[in-house]
Amino acid sequence: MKNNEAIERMVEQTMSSLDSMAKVEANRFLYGKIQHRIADAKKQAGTYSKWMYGLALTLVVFLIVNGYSYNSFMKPSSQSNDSTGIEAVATDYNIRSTGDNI
Amino acid sequence: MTEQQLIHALQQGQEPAFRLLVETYKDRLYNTILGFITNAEDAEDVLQEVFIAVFENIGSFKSQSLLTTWMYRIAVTQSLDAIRRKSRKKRAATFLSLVGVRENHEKYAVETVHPGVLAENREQSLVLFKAMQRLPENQRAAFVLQKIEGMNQQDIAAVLKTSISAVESLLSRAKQNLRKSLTIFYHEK
Repeated sequence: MKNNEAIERMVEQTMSSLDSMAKVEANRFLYGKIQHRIADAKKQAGTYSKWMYGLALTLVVFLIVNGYSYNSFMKPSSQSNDSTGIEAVATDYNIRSTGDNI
Repeated sequence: MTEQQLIHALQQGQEPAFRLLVETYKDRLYNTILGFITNAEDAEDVLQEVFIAVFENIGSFKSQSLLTTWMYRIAVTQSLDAIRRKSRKKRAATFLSLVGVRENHEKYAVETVHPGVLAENREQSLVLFKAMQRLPENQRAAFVLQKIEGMNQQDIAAVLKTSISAVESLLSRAKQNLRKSLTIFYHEK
């Protein structure tokens, strides 16, 4: 077991171990690398926005088709068509809802 | 070229100005980043991200602080972000290894010191860098800026957007915590 004084000395030495540090130089070709990354990011952003436009267009088409279908389904004329169809079937099979046929 | 002229040229998107900025500040920022991320390759990646962030955000720079201060602030933020990302990966790798998926742990367990550390101080620096990793982020940032970049408290306060008294307190607590960690380490050794 080390004595406290020795430990304290080691702690202080460790604390000052960064005092005489040499400055390190960055990569000489850093600027080129950065330019490359910026160009890559721009290219990727272009591809991404193309995808986003495609997705937005698909969504718009989907909404238009759904809206049109909903409107067609809810139109009152479609109901009258249905009743016309029912009447035609009733006429063909000679079915009447009046008391005459009962 | 004055700083204002450089900022103006950068905001105009002039490439020579950006090259000048990179060549002027790359070494200083690289040394600061190495104080947080001791692996030279990872530190260079962060350095590139710092300059890209400067390039992308120079338009919104309002000259409320010096360009250098602003760049150091970005460097500190990006370094701490990179450390957080690395910690998340490390946790994920630990979890994967617990559930039986083998991951390359060595990739995350690199033990390096700032390349500028003198050979005779290497072993002790490694112990210090490990202890620094356990410091809270703001204490660590203040300590790195003072110890590695040699900044005074006023400049550190500007970079960390805080008061000088807060920096004083951060540095004092950082040193206290480091001494505590080192004492425990040498006791157990």
